[in-house]
Amino acid sequence: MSAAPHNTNQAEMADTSPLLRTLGSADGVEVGAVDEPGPGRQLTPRRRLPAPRAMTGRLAWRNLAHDRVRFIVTLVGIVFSVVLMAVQWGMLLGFAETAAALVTHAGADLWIVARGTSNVDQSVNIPERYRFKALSIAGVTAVDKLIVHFAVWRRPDGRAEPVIIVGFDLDSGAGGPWNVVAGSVDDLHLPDTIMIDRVYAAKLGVDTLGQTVEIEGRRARVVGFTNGIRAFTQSPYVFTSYKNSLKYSGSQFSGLVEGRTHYLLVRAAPAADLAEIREGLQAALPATDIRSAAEFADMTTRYWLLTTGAGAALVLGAVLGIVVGVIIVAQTLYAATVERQSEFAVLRAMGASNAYLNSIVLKQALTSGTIGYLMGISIAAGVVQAAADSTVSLVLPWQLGVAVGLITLSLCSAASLVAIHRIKTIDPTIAFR
Amino acid sequence: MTDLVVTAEDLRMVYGRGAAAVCALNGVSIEVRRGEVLLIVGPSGSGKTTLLQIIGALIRPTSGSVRIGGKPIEGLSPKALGRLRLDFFGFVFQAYNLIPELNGWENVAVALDLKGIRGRVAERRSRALLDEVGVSSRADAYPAQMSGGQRQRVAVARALASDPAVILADEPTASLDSASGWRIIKLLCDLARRQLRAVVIVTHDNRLLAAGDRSIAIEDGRVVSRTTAPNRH
Repeated sequence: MSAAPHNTNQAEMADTSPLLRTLGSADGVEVGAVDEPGPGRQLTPRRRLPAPRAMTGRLAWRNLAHDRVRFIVTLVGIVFSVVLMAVQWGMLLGFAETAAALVTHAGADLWIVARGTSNVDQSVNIPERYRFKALSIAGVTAVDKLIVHFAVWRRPDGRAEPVIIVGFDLDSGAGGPWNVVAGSVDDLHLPDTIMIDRVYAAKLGVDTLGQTVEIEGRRARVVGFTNGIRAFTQSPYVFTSYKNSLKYSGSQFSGLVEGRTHYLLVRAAPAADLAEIREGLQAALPATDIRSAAEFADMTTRYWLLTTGAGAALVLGAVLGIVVGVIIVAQTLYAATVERQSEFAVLRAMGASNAYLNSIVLKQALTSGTIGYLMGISIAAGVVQAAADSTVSLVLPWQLGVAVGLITLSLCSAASLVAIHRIKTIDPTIAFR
Repeated sequence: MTDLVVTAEDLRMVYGRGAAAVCALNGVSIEVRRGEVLLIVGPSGSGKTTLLQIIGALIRPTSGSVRIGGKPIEGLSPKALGRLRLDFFGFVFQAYNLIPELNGWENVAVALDLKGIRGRVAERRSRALLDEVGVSSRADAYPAQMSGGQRQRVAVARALASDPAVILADEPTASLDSASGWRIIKLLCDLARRQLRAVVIVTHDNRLLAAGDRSIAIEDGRVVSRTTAPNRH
């Protein structure tokens, strides 16, 4: 008697399996006889994409590609989710960057602000003479005044637009514009000159450099453009010299009176201990708050994003994207699993473990997620590119791209759990029906 | 060394409870030996497929014992039963149950994949198996492009892929014309005798009785007759 056919040892299976021996005819049995081809044999084989080596990956991919409409629906859901997440978070980051840009680009180590000031845009005045007290603190090398207040801009067509006047010290440049793409900051030494960002030029009715406009009933001439200095409030920043800014401070918005300013920007010696300087300033100026630049920037960001609810709306949008993505992926994977439950039942009858069957569904989910992510992030990058010249601040740093990718794969994995749960309940005897 | 690969004693299987209870098997005992073709015949609803599922470790009987490879399977976890099926049994179904998205050799390779055999080795072995059962020319065709007989041959190759001791075939000819059906039965018989595998075929077609070494007739969940073919065992 030859060896028993049953053998779980794979190495032995490879060489000693009686199956691999040549079969001859026995008892007149025509082993290997081919049945007549059915009508289906006339079909032209469909072109198929290369498949992964592992059968689970191959099955996952073929399952997806087999029902293209369902696959497209799945991808649409994922793409929608990815774009929504990337754009919403991109706007959140962009707004956060925008809201605090004035602070982060001012070049100050410490800000002296009126007590209780919560953000840079809604300023409260303080006495100018505090500047001299601040200069007397050891380690302080410079203290510059900065005015930031709302004003009314009158367009050539007579329409009023709220703007934020930023009056800075031209000699130090602290609090001044950056990314100047037309004109020069030096041009602001001339009387009645201002600089605006070009993304707001149309909104403010400005066509060319040198154009004369009206701010708070006073003449102003545009001598330069910046690029990408957006305002969270959508009231554009108008940079001008400190001296000029006082002319535009006549309105109720500025709250300025003789001998007062809004902020004092402190710069410290390179090796100085900022904490020590801060303590000294606070002791010398007890009626003010002393903020580090990072702290004031963070306060400003938090104020605009949290207090106004804008941040919550953006986060909600991003969460909505995740929810929609999970639901669509879960629904399509579940439907695909139910539709193929007889195949899963056959595999289970053959001895496939839960892990084996689950890996098929998981690979379907991750394949969908990867393809959907690549498509979605490409669209999001296009949206960011398209928004570059708009007033909407939208960014897509690589870290956000990676985060959205990880979230996408996670949500697809989570979505597959519903289908995986279904697989656990599949009865292998279905294969016999 | 015993030739018994599966033994089942006094099997009873009841579906449902109370007044709705249906007794599918009642006191059925069966032995399956290496190298033999055992036919289980009976009309629809007689309990023959339930018997196949019980000896194939797919479902647990209400009472009675099953020994596979000499070991009782009572108390084994579902995972262990799955492993047992993978190691001991190859299944052939009435409706072939090939995966439509996979071609011929890939369908066979799935069974090898379950045993951890992958890549080129799996493809080479799958093609060899298809050659063994006479459909090597359809290795790259998809099930939709095959005739019923070709599909069933691919299914037989898949059942053989894990090198099982027992092939369990549930109505393997029911979806085929008589000529194709006979060729499948002959193929299974040949595999049993030449490779010393046990082949258990469930059928309602009494014409197939001549092909088996032994047969068991079941009606209403009970064995009504046992027959051994002349000159066999």
